[in-house]
Amino acid sequence: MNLSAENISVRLGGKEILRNVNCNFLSGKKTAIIGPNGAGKSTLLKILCLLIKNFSGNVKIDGIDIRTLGRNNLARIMAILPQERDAPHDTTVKQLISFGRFPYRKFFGGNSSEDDAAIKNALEITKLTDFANRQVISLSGGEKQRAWLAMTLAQRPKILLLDEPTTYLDISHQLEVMDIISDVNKKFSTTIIMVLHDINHARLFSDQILIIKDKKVFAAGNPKKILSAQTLSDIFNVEADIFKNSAGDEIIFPIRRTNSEF
Amino acid sequence: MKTIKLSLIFAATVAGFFLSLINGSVEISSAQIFFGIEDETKRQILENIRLPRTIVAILVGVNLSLSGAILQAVMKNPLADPHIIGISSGAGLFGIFVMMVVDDAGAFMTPAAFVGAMLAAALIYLLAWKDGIRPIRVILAGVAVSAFLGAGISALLIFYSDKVHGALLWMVGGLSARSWQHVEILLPYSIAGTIATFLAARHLNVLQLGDEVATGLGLRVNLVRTILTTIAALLAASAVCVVGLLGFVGLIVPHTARLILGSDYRLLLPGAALLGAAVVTISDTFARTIFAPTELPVGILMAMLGAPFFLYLLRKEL
Repeated sequence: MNLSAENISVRLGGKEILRNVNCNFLSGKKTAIIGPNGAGKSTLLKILCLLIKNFSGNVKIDGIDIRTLGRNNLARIMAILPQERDAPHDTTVKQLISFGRFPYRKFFGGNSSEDDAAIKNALEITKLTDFANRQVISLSGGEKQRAWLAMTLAQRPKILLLDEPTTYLDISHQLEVMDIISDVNKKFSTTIIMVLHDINHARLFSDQILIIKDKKVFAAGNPKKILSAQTLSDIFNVEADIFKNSAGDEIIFPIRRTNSEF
Repeated sequence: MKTIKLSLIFAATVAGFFLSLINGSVEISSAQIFFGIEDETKRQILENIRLPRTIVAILVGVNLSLSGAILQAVMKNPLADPHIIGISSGAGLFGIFVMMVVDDAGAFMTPAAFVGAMLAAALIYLLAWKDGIRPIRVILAGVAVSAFLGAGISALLIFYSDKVHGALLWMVGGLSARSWQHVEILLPYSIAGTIATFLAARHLNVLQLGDEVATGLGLRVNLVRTILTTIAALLAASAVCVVGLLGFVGLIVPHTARLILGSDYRLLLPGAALLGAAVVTISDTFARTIFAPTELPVGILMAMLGAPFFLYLLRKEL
């Protein structure tokens, strides 16, 4: 499904965070939101899923204002993996994933066969089937992230929002998580919107990039076109080299800051 | 496995029920309970003293345990219980105020204590609110509100020193002379509160995942939190206005149930309710027989058991 934001402005705690942001997230595509710290990326993501409600402007799914959908209906269409989260210490991987079926609960009765299928599917796609009965707390960082990702997948979302899904993971687990996200996108045509810090991940794993800087959209479009050495210098004040790696992908590597006042 | 544990807790509740009926200043054997008593006095004691008192103990145990179990999830704080976060002292201040100022206060105490509990809960909620509920702010706001309400209670005790004894007994929390009229006060709150709480088990589970995750899963966090806080206040207020400020049940019992049964509220809630009933009936049986003929208010015994257990939990879990 197509997600669009029109004229989004928001103030939090008296401070202006975003001003007149317009963006369109294409159906079935992966979009990475990048930008410097404090630019308003996470705020934008939270607005897109109504975690923040007191903003001006509209967020629309296929032209329908998401504020008219109702929380539960929205949760059947859109899933979010926030950074802030918690699970009781004895929660197993399977229990955690089954919370993803909460939007589909009935007033009485247990899991339907559809629930069971969705949970099984989420376990498979995140390669956690063997970990189903392990406690989440006993997992490594990468496995934990996959378990939480699996919970959002059990929601069977058409749109998946991810807030820095690779933070705190080592390079191998970062790639693992990015691969799973690409997999989900390919298999279910899920629209993916993710805030990323790693420019190279944004370049390699997304179809579209949205750059937020100083409360506004700085640039949007094809990652290979807009992520030049010049843009990098403009957004991050960093001088960078771009070169081809052995796989033939263009890689960005920072050299030095361009304004070294400190 | 967990079903067996739940059955054992149920067995303890049944045992507590019969222990409470059998023991006391007059001996009644279990055979007499099942096959009838010929002695008229003994029958009166069983039917009009022991039985209602035991039922009050069960209902109070259920209400306070469920209230604590709800608040721990709603406030995202393992330390939350009706006593510590001020719901009990809110009920206490209003209850004691009515007791002191109004003659023949019996009929007004329940609604007054309920209003007090709700106001205390609302006050703490307002003080702790800033872009959502933060556990540390709940505890700090709870401490502040409890101190504030405690000062009010102290002031009342000084102004109406002739009625201090009754108020003191009520503040410690006790079950002596609780009768059928108290069962009637408690029962509707217990039934409605228990049903509502059990229906919210899955919501409570989701709340434990954090506000953002819960919202993402379609839960209307603030609405659910407000409703559940109201239910917790209602359960605690009904218990407090009947037996006084019985401490620690709402804290110890949910935690113990959690240690035994895990954090899934679908199992934890019935476990906590049964365990609460067992703990209060058994404690009360001890409290009234241990120094017979002097009767110890059950609140004193519970606090003596509760404080060390609470410290044990702190060392084990935090």
